[in-house]
Amino acid sequence: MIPEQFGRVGVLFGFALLFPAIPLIASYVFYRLRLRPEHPDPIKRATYECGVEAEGSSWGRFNARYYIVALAFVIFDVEVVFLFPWATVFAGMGWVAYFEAVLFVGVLALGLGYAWRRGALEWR
Amino acid sequence: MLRRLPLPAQIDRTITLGGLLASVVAAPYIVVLGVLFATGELSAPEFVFWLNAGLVVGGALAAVLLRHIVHAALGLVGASLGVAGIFLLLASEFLALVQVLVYGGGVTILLLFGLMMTRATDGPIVTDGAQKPFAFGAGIVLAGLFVGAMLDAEWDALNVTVVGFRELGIRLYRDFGIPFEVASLVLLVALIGAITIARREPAPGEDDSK
Repeated sequence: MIPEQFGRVGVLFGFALLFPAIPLIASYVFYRLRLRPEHPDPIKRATYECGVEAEGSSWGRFNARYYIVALAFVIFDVEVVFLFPWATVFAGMGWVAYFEAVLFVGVLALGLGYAWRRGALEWR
Repeated sequence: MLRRLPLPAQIDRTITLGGLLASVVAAPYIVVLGVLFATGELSAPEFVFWLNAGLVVGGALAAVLLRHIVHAALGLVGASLGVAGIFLLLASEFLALVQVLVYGGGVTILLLFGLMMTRATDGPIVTDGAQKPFAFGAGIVLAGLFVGAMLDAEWDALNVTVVGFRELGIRLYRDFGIPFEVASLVLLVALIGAITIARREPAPGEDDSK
């Protein structure tokens, strides 16, 4: 049955949630046991230890251009949703399913081409 | 304790405190559920259902009550994932997929972007407005509808039909091929409309590059 299969995935999901906590707990335990060296440094507490330094508040405004990217993301999100059931039946239906999907993706590729043409994807 | 952990400064302030708060609330709930499950009071599906229901209610409360718009959106994502879990429990994989991809991902991002661009200031955003009493009234009416439908339903007479992923795909691609292609046209119109409306050409001389 389906729920049992997802139950196994759920166990993995739970472990994936717990996994990041393990090094933190181990770090604290080793600190308590005085096994962990302690060399505080401001760089260690930076948001990105190796990367561009974070600047300003994280609550600033986004540029309006990101919004088009977000809108395009939602459109292609819905496209992907339609392609998942397609992937399950593709093997049984052969070329009919193939051309259906080609047409579907092709129409949306037209939209992507239009977005490209209009420069909506460019950062000017 | 937090200062002793190898965490970036921003993470240990907000996210770790929020996570600790959430675990303080969630841990007793999960422990109670686990005890009930271990003693046989709850069957395994019921156990999973109550976990998901807690996630939905907690996420919805966080989305409504938290003053910070990004934290509220995170709560909304949690509620969406919980609903997806309940769909999985009902063996509706496709609905769970839509719930995670479209609602948990797309709609939340869209909502967040809309709020961030229109009203964002340097600091937590207060979203209480003049619409608050109306929203409260609408919430009460909706809750009344749902509770009424719940009390009215005959739960024992429910006849569960599971529509699998494959049946859905076969129906969609063999029997409803044309409507499926029309859906792509609808998406195309939506994309072009979004670009046309959202993309305003910068006026000459206006610095739009920030």
